[in-house]
Amino acid sequence: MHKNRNKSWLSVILCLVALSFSFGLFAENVSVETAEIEDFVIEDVAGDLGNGLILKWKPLPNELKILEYRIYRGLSADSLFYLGSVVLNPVVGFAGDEVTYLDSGYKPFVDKASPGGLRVDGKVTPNDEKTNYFGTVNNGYPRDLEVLEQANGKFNLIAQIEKSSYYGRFSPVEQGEDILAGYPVGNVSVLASIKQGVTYYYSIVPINENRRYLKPSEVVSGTPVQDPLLAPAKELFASLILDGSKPVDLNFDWEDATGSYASQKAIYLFNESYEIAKTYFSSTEENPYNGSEPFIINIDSQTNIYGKISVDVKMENGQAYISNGDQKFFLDIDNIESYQVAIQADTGESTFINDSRNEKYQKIFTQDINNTPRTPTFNVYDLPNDKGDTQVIVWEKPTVEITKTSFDTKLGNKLIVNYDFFDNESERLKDFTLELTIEGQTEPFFTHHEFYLDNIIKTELPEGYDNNTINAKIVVTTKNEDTEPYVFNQMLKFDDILKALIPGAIEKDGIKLNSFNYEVYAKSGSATYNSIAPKVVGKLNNYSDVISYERSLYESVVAFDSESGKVLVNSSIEVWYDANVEKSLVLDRFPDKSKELIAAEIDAINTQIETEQDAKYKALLTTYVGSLKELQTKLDQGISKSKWIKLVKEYRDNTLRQRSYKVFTTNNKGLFASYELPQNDDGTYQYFTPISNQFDHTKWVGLIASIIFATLVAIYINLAKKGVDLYIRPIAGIQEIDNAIGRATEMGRPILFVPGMSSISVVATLAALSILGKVAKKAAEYDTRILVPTRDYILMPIAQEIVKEAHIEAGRPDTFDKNSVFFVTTDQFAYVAGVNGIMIREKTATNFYMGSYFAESLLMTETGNITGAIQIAGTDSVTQIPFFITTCDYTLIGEELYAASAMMSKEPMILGTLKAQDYFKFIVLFFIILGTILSTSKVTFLLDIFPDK
Amino acid sequence: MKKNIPLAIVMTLGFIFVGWTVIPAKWMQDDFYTAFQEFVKTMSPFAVFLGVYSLINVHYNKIRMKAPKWGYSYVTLAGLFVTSLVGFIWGTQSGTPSQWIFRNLMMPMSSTMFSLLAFYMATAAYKSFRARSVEATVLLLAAIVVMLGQVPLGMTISRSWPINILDISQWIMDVPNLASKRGILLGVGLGSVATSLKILLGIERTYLGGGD
Repeated sequence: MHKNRNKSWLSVILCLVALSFSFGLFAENVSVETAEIEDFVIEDVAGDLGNGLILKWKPLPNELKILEYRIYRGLSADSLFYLGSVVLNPVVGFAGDEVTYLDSGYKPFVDKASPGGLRVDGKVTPNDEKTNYFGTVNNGYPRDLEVLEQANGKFNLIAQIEKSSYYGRFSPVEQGEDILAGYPVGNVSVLASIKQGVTYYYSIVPINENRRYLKPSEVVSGTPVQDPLLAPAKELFASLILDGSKPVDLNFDWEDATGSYASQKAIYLFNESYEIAKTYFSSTEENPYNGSEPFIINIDSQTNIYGKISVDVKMENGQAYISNGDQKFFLDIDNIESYQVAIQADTGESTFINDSRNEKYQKIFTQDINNTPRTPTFNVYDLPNDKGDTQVIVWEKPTVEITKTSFDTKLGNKLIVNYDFFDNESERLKDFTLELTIEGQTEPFFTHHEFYLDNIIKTELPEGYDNNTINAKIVVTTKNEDTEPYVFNQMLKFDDILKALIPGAIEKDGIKLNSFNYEVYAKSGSATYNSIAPKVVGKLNNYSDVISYERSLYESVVAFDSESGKVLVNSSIEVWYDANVEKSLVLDRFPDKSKELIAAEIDAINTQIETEQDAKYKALLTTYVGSLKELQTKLDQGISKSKWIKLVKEYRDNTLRQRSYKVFTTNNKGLFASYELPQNDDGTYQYFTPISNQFDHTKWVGLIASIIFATLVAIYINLAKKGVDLYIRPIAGIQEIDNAIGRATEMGRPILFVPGMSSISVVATLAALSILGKVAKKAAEYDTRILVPTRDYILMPIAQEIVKEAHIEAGRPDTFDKNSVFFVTTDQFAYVAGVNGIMIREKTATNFYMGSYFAESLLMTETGNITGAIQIAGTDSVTQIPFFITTCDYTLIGEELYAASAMMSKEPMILGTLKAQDYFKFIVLFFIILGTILSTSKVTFLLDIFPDK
Repeated sequence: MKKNIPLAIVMTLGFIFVGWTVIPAKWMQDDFYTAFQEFVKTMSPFAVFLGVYSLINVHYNKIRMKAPKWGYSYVTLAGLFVTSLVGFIWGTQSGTPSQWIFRNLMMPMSSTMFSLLAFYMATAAYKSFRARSVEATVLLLAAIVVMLGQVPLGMTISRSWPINILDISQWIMDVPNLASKRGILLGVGLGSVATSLKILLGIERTYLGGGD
């Protein structure tokens, strides 16, 4: 006893020594005290709208192991609030000469997690007594409107409001003549961006790897300046598009300069030399332009966001021309390369086609219309089996592509071809035929019909094959029986470095699919399209547009108002978007003001109806006025604020998620074609809204299987209740449980029951708990102690309750010890160490391991083996079964774990489920065999019925 | 009452989650599930207290009762309190003493436990591969072939042999091994569905405490 005591104390002392040694390592280096940030400067971000400052400073020496530089910002030098940080890896350090931090765009300002009042960051020791550093871990500004009011007008502020609060938590606040919507500061998160002309003060606080705050930098100020970059277009391409030999279009394709705020105004076509044309834009009275008048194509920068424009080329007396109203500009098609083209930005600056970096494109060049896919139309599909936030835009048919090849010399002279397929909602791929032909030969050496798409094909290479190029022909059949098969060609060329056949570009109808892209545009809430997918590679045939359900809504903050205690935003709100007339209705959050606004809107639409020339659009406007009047009636009848906002929410949910689309195919060098959805008969545009599906059709098989299984269970439970003898195969591991408990009783040692490594939500753990109930009851009957160490703290009280009830059932409540079921730790290997210690210290006679296990299984069972305990394991973890079989006396494999409690209880209700399980296996086996036979016979309907996953 | 209310909760939620599996609609996937997750998040911290209380109670009793090797209980409790304390005082971010303890005490000790696995595997392999019966001999031969298939030596041997040992190794892994694995998985899947069904229908109630 004394010996043990001494050893224990020794362990404690050793542990304390180790810990105190560890804290000794936190001792500070002297240089930390004197380290100071040098060369801290603030510069305006060039070319922006006055909302960016860049902070630069010299990094501290890497020996100081700096973990982060915290940035504090304020509107005066004496009050600085935490803004953000530059995080470094203290082990690697910082390699450059200068650390930078960009204060640009909207950054978190105040949110729900911000402190209620001003909190000085006590860890920062200011350089002077006046300066205060506010904020701790992540937040600078507090949720204190008196403090926040100082930011009014000094920042651009945006409120992020959760949907439920957005419609429910606002109240009217009078500000002069205006009535604004006020939200409680606790219900909004505010983002802030710096504003031009306002002076901001900054300081940097370095923190080392021990989280020691070093001396702050001096406070430096900076003022953002509005100096937007107004650069001309970066690149311009011009192409004369021919259909055979007939000119059809003159296309222009340009790219705006990166970061430029300039818009393009017009394209100029000169029938002059470059030198003369160039003088057009620099002409003055003294040096006038002497060339012929150029042809000018105006660009509407509001609607043309595509960077492309196409002009029809017409023919007159065998001569091609382009026209602009009455003006005709004749083109010499044979000398089209001699024309000059320029694009002019609204700033007056111009870019000539000759400025292109690639010499090949420094002129108008001709391109064949047939070198781009001519897709007549595209379709929009709702993504099936989703929650209603995705729709798929489909413009092409399914594609199959060889992605990789490799030689398999191990298995003979074989070629392994990996392929990928891209099908879509319009046509599902059924199967395809692959033909491989050696270049120069006419007959393919390999023809394969791939009816099961497993992404891999293996073939024997022909004798004498010497790394020749192989031509692959892929003939794709889809499930749409009305369409002809699609043919794709691909060239497989041998690469001497990679020692493999490298697949080239896919070719369809003579067009290489990698030579062009698709661009997808969508309009939603306005009549103008916006880019949603700028570059989709040519081999892809669809684009999934995710239209997320709104969780948070954004509003510009007008002011923080301490008097009302609210964050104020403008009270106007978009009520709906009418897709037929492509108009948004913006009213007010408050019904009284909405009444005035809707009357004005009706008047405006009525005026438009009077002047509208297009009869179809006029009819649509008339219908629209009708719906406005309906809404006006509701407002006039008197509607409460809450009912009004509920109505607005309903309109918004129904109309603001509609989208219409436009697709371009382009080679980005002037060859392009655009496709729009056809208009409806009444002249309206087609708009689509994703549908929230109520049933996942891929789950039918699972659901039906579950119902069949449940029916079988019900049948066999009934049979068992009626007394029908249900034979269940005896399992040695289960039969031996009683003996194992008896052994522990005889030896007077405890039983160890490990309920697995997973949580209560795992079915194997639930099965383990069922077995625990039986084992604990038996142990209680024999008056044998049972130890249950748990890894999950939620599992622990449940296991305690099970063991307690087992003791009560056995008539031995007095022998239940609450501390015999205990929590050890959630860490995997620490838990193993704990359990192994229990085995050795308590000398357990019988060990049960039931449930899910991972890498730790062998560590526990080998220890149990060494202590000489009888061990019974049961797991559904396939990878751990071999370890259990090797080291345990009995092992319940897979489903036997689930059957164990049923077999131990011998209750008809539970035995019935076992029997049903066995019969259901017959059904599964039947489908496996049937599926194998059908698949071998290339009949795949059964495969199609069952989901992939 | 003690059992009926929890049983009703389990059955109701069980059926709701069957619905959650087959209903992709927003009201189910977003609205209900988000609320449910919040609920679970709220519940978990209370269970942590139970776990910590149990740990302290067990080891306190060991010390009080002077149970065998009770001194280790001091080490456990010291570990619990010191780690918690440094976490509460300095936080758990990178660079704090809590992280130092994790990196320099916790990780090496866990790695030590894990590394023991290699030795235990060797002894387990020795036990299984002893050719005591026909089955064990088949197992031994299969193991030798598979092992040779995984090392360069196997490839060298294959070159001089008429049969390709790599192919046989791959075949053992792909056919008998995979087939038996899938057989087990099939049973596990059905067993797991059966257990879930038993719980859902209230046939299996052990988890509520009180045996059957």
